Amino acid sequence: MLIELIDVYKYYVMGLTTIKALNGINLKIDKGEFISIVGPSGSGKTTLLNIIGLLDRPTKGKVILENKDVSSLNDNELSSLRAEKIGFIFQTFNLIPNLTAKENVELASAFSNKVRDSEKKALELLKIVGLEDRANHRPSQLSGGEQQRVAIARALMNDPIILLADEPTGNLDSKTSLEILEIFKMLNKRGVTILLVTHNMMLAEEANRILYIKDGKIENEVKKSN
Amino acid sequence: MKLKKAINYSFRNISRNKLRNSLVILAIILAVILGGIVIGIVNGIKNYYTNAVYEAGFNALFVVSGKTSVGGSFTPPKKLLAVDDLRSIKELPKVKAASPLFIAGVFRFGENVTYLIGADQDLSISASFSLYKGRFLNDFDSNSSYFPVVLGYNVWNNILNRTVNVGEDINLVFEPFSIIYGKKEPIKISVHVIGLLQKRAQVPGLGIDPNSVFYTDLNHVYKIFNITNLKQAYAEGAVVSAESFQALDAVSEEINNLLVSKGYDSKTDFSIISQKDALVYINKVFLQINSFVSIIWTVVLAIGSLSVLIVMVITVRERYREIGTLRSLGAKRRDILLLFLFEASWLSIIGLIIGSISGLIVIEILKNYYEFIKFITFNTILETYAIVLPEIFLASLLFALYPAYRATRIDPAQALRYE
Repeated sequence: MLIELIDVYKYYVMGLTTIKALNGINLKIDKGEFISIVGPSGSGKTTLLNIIGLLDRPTKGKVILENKDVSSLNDNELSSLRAEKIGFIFQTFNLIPNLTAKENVELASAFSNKVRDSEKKALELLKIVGLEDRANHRPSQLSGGEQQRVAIARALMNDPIILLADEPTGNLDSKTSLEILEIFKMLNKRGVTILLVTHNMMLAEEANRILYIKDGKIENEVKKSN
Repeated sequence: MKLKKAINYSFRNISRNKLRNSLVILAIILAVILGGIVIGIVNGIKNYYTNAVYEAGFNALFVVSGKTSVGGSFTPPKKLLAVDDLRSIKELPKVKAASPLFIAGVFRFGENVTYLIGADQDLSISASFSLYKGRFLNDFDSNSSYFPVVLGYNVWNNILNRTVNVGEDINLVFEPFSIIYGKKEPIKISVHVIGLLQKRAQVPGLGIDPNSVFYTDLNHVYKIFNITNLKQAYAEGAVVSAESFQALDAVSEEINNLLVSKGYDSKTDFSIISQKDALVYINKVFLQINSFVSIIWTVVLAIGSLSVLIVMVITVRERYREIGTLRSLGAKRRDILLLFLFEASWLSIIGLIIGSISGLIVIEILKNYYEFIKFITFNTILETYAIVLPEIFLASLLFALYPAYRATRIDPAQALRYE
């Protein structure tokens, strides 16, 4: 078992109102899975992703990462785990504008001791995502699709146990979205575990498992046999 | 985060908002220049006068007729100091040399006023004169047929424009004017140059610039006032040299006892001022100036540091989402703190380097327009920078600490949602 969420709740208190973002989530993720999470806006998809990615803590419940309960770890310990075990991909790419593609990829290795030759590895990853000839370009010199590919390479830098992608194609056209999807499929075939949050059903259906989430609960789960 | 990467990353961020960061750097540059000039001038003048006191004589004391102190008021004596009594100071055990001083009047060269001062051969030791050429006064000059003079540096170098030489006679109009013997009609005299002195510093609080003086023998100078017997002559005081700096207090007491034993009242008739008093006076004056300069400097420092604070607050706000991204990549709170502190440091360091170089250039340029800037020597600038640069750097870091700390408290999940 790679990751397990046991009875996870997440509440946000905003003034007098309490928002129940997650309302009792139970989830098991195995190594090598490709999972899609779909659901309407405000259903708790991103909150779920942030809790799995150790960016946020559950109000109640347990998060088990590689058989270890990480719910009670302190900020420093969570940061170290994020650096070594989690790879994030965002809708808005979130690249550092004054760094080149290669430097953006390398940046991830600054927070972990896993990679010895970060420059070499960054170039290898850029090659995997098809951007070896754009290594020295800055984000402003790259298209949206290319920027997202750099972000994917960055997420892979520390060989994470899981890739968490939050609407990775939300800012891309359909053709580019398919290209990104192909990269995810290729990575998954290489053994990378992927958790994809999306509104795009066409993309979601490419995963092995689809989780339908509504009002902070998993309403339905569809497993596909490959 | 690896230190090298943090330093590199923060340096690269400087180029992100060139205009804004340039303005911060400019504020720091101006702070360095202003600090360099203001503190530099004060330090420069203080060093100049402190050196002047040390150069004023090897362990010198000044015996002055009447009651006075360095930079203080003057009360005339009830009993004038006799030349003979002042000469007896030479016999005291810890005294190396002593010469009476008698200011006889002035020579005018256009707007320049120079003094004629009577002394004896001991003055060269007690006032630590260095000769450029020729010799100082000796015993034979007392009864010489010529009027022997040793010229101060300004006299021969600036006023007479190096047109006189040792062994030459100069015809001058002398205006006799003595505090003791009163004023007389100007007379024409021919002086015989026996020596030219090197430049030396003026002792603060002691009035006459020693470089603008004709030094002559006491016998000759009293004759102008029709006094031929030195035993009946009075003088303004004496310059005394003690055996060592440590002996200054002992010599001061010896002189005091000697003069009291000769019937002088130490409360009214004479004052003894030592190099130590002059140093105390300088420190007292500069303590006040320093406290005033400190206020100005604090304001300058605050403006420079506030600019760093404001820019860092804006920067943190602007990079909200970037902070979230870095945290998602595994950056710890400490890493975020370091990144922003490094960034503030870079702004500060660039400002300090450019400011230091610009400061040197500005000071050199200002030296052409303002006389007092000349007190800022290269050493003074280095001394000043040794104070100013670390202060600016530390103040910038201190002011950057708050926004950097705030950056560490940002919730990464919220930061990633920030538009």
